[in-house]
Amino acid sequence: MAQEASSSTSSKTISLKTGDGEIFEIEASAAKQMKTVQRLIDDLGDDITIPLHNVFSKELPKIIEYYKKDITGEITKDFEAEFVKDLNDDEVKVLFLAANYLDANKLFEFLSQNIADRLESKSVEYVRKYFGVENDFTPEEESKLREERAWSFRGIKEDE
Amino acid sequence: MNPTKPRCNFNSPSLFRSLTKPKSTQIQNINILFFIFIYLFIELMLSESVFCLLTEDLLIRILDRVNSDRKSLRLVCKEFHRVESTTRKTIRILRIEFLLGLLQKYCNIESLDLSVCPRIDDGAVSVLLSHGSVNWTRRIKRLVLSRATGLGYVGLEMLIRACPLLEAVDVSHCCGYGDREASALSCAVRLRELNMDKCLGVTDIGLAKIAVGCSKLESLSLKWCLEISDLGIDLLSKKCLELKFLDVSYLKVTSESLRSIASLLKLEVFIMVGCYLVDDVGLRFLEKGCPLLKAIDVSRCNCVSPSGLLSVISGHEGLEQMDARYCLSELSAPLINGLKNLNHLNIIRINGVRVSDFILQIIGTNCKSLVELGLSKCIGVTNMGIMQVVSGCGNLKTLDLTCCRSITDVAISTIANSCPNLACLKLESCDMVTEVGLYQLGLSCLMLEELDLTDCSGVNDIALKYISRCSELVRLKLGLCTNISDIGLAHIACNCTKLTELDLYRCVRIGDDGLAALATGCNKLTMLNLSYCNRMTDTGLKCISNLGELSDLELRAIPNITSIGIKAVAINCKRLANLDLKHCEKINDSGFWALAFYAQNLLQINMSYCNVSDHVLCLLMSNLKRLQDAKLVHLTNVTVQGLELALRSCCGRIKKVKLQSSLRFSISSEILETFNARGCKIRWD
Repeated sequence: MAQEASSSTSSKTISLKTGDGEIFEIEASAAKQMKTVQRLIDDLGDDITIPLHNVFSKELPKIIEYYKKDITGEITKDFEAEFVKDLNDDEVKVLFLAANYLDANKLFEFLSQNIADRLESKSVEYVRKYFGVENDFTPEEESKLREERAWSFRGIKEDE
Repeated sequence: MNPTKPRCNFNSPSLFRSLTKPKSTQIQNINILFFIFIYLFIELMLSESVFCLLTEDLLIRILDRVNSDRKSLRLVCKEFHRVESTTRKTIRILRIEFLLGLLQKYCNIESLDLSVCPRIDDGAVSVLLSHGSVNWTRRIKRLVLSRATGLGYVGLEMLIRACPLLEAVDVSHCCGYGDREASALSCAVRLRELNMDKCLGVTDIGLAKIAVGCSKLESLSLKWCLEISDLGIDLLSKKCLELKFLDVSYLKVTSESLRSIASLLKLEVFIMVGCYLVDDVGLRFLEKGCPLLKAIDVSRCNCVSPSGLLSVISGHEGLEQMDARYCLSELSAPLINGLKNLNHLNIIRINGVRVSDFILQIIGTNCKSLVELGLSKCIGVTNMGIMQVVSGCGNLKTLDLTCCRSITDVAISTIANSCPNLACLKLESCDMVTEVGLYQLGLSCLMLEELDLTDCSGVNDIALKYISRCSELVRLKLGLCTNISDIGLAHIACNCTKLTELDLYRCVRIGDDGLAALATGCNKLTMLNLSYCNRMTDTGLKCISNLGELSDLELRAIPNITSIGIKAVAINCKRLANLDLKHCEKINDSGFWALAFYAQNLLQINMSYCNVSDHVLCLLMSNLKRLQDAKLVHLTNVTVQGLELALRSCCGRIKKVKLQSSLRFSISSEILETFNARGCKIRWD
């Protein structure tokens, strides 16, 4: 009997409702990794559907897929490479913000590294477009900064 | 009341309810147009990147992980600039003009490196510290002032007192530093790491001040501080009990110092290279002392014998690193047996010692965890000995067999087959190694990163083809390998794409075709030595100029290169820092003019025996603001007045100049004195 009870808690599923009204099932152990969800479960109990207003049905399946692999301990470099391979820039950004909202630490670290990799060695214009920010420097300020950047310093990261 | 619904859908009905009152048709049309504009405007806002929701802490998390030039992120917008300024932790300043501005912006830096910033002197420091709010010093933990020869004790003390959290200072190679500077350093109460290599004026008094003032010191390096004696070391050992790393190389200390050092209970690394007054008596003190000792270096200590070294080993079974280069003539039997107990020994360097097959066999049997073995210039190294060592030590990553001339292909094959993790192999002057042995190397040692085949006359194009299979190669030395040609170089260029350092000194059969292949294949090259490759012409040099990462280029005595090639290099190799053009007699003024104008990152230049004229030399010396070291021997077209003018224009910025000794009394003494006063060294050839 005890064994049955323990197996039922480990395979217990939680229902999550996205901002656009769709419902997804996720294992309790995976839900534990998403601290926001866990907090909601602690407050509201685990038999009702947890509402997630800021996550939508486009992202949540991907996140669930990641944590399904995580609880079985199967996250490898190959899986991670595969995970982000087909995502375009916007999708990664949306996933990143969703991971932040859900307080899903492992996914968050992984995605922030991925975004940093995408920005590696890219031009200033590219970074502006990526983040959707406008250049608010005056031409004089910008030329002064460029001169500073070219000739003034180097940051030491490892062994320069 | 039902408001008339406008034709398009949007989410803020309240705003438009008031505007949809029944009016005349014309006004209604205008209202509708107005609504359409507003709608489109809102649509435009919402369709902007979803990163409008990005908060500052999320931005910091991403920016922290970007490895490459973070400076470009500062230019994105004011928000990014502010974020980058507050999160930057380390900075190495190259130009003094920007120093003040940069330091005022970056108030959270923890590490400041001023070693390559010219003209840092007491006046500059007092300006930095008095100008406005001095936020930037509050978090600094590490200060690198290596070679900042212009800074005196007043400025140093001001700087150190301004940084309350200072933990690490590097003042190495500030040769004029003495006890007053040591006293300034002792004001840093939290100091943990101190590097005072080559501070020639420091005596026991200065060291005592530091020992008393900085009691938390964990790492101290005193190489070449020749005025320090046993007295100073004794006081140090009594006061700085937390010391883990101590380097007393080349000091005139005796065995008495080792008696004091043995009482340092936390000492892990002890380096005493070249301490010729220390003998076995001193090492015997260490036997019972320093219980946590992990690494010892007694290289070049002439009075040390195997029995002294044995005492150190017997007391420390946890020893990981043993360096005894050029000090022992032989390894005694007890010493060899003593090695059996050292189960953690990773690194053994016994350059210059006489070994035998038996000794190497003992090492192979007992030192199973060996990762690095240095047998450079050892007498008695044979194929059999090497085979016995490597068959026991399968984890070897570094093997140095420089000048072990009896080594042949048989040994190389055994090395290749036994040590698959080999990362560094040095075979300088091993003449009998040919493509047969290197074939095996190319098959089995695919992790090889560094290979030194200088002066190996057996290396030919086929050998290079086999070596090129090691695609992880980063440093390759082929100096004096006169049998290699463009064909072999093309093989390397094709497969070894990670190459950053290549030495082709006196490889006289290398020509433009090989260099063209190199420029396309190995675009990460940073160091290239082509001295005496006299087949090279401007075409080859133009290909080299495509290497964007090139920082060190040596082109000594290449007769056919002219200003055309040099101009291409100056314009395209933006990171060029070190250039050697000695004896390149066909380069004329236009080439040096191009260097003066474009090569703004040059730190060192050797123009000896070149045909440059007065005014271009002056232009060069005044324009290159980062130049620190210039060799100007025998410039036949330069007059004494021209040289004086050139020297005046770089005075205070430059740190080393080499001139021919015949000019010693022709150059005005006023210039020589100014140079001396500003901390610049003149060497006479």
